[in-house]
Parts: sequence; C-alpha cells; structure tokens
Amino acid sequence: MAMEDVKQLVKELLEEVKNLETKLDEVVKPLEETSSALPMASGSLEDVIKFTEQSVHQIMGILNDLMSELQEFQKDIDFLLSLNPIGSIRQKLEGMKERSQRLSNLILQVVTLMSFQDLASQQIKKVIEVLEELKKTILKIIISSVEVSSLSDEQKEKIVGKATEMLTGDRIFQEDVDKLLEELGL
Amino acid sequence: MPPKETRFLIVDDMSTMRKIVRTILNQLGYTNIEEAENGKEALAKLRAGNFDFVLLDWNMPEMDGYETLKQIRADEKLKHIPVIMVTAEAKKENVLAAIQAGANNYVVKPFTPETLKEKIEKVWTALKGG
Repeated sequence: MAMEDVKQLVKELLEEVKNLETKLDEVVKPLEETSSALPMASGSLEDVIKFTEQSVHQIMGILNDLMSELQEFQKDIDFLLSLNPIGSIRQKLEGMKERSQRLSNLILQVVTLMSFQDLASQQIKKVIEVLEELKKTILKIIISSVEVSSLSDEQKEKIVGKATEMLTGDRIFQEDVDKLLEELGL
Repeated sequence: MPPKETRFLIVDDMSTMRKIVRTILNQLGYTNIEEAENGKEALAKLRAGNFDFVLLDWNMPEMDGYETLKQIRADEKLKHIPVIMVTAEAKKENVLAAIQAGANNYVVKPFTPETLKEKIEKVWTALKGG
C-alpha cells in the first residue's frame, strides 16, 4: 500500500470517528436533558397543584364573605318587610330580596365550579405517577448499562447500589439523580 | 330535607372539594359539619361521634371510599348511617359496585349545588319511608 493510500485511509478513519462523536453527542444530550428534566417536571406539576389550590381557596374565601354579606343584607330586608311598609316600598324590598337571593345562588354556582381544581389535580397526580414510573425505568436502564460497562467492580457496585436505593424509595429527587449522573461522568 | 341539626361528615382528600361541599351544606342551612381526609380518619370520626350523614369520595390515600363504605356497612354501630358517594369515578361498574356495597346514592363530580341537594333529599325521603 502506498503512503498516499495510508494517508487517505487515516483521513477517512478520522472522519468516521468525528461522525461517531457527533452521533454520540446527539444521543447523550437528550438523555442528559431527560434525566434532569423529569424530576423537575414532577416537582413543577406538584407546584401547579399547590398554587392552584391556594388561589382557589383565596377565591372561595372571598366568595364566602360575599355570601355572608348577602345573607346579612337579606336579614335587613326581612326586618324592613316585617315593619309592614306601604305597597310601593314593600314591592321594592321584595324585588331586592329576590335579586339578592339570585346573587347568592350565582355565587354558590361559582364556588361549585371551583371543583375544576380538584378534578385537574387528580389528572395531574396521574401524570406525576407516570413520570415517576418513567424515572424508574430510566434508572433500570442505567443499572443494566453499568453492569455491562468497563467500570471497575467497586464503581459498578457503588452506582448500582445508589440507583437501587433510588428505585426502591417512594420518590426520586433531583439531588439523587444528579449524584448518579456524576458517578456516571455525565 | 333532613333537619338543620343533622350532623354531616365530608370525606375527601382534596381540601377544595371539602370546602365546596361545606359551603353548599351551609347554604342549605347545615352548620353541624366535620371533615376527614381519608377513609381511616373518617372511620375514626364516625366511631367517635354521632353522625347522621356521610358524603364520601372514592379516590383517597390510606383508605379509599369504596373500602370505607364496606367497613361502614360491616360495623354494627355505623351501618345505619346514610352514605352518598361524591366522586369523579363515573364508570358504570363503579356506580354498581358502590350501590352493591351499600351506598345510598351516587353524585358524580363536577356537580351542581342542586344535584347535591336533590340527592340528600332523595336519600332522606327514602330513609323516612317517603
């Protein structure tokens, strides 16, 4: 083989290695992003539940205050009606009583519509469960790949132990995932 | 409708739903209301106090509504208490299972204040032999 041929071959080999590195980068990047985004996703969804619950409770508090005010208003009207006012005033008072009752019913309907928070939270909790399962699956894949890797037995044991610990726990926290990724050199 | 002194127990893990049911009951004139976050807490409260009506959610941690209902019906001291399931579980098999387990009625979330009122009235009338 001529020197020129060898040079060409080395050049092609280097290009292939470069291509391979690029392809590996394409795979590693989404994996890294997924590993860090998943625990954050669960946390963010839990925050959504917490924040909507707080806001809905504040709104309900205001609506309850409004209903109490209307009840007092209705009591005042009843008192005025008990004084036997003349016909036109009685008519006005009865109209006011009817309207305040209608307002109370509308406020109660708004309070009941706040149940969207409960129903949405239940759906979000189901998504969180799926995310937790997904995280566990990713950890299982990590364990399998560590077992067949060229790492030392001590390193393997350490990483698998940590991953197993995370798998058997109720929740997987970002800190634990970061530590594991660190062990894996990611 | 049941008398105004009727003692209600609202069982739901979501505080929003407990507040909604409480507000509706308040508007209906009921103030004797207690709350529980799950079936275990509900059973403890039921055994400790004289409740007249239970509004029970299905999906809850610790002990779900279905299991709670079965335990209420299996308890000599509690089995007479009317129970209305108030739940997002709208599947036919769930409704059947709840009724077979002894639920007096079934309200699907989201509901209107009128629906809850009608169901309470219906259960009360049936119990009074009306």
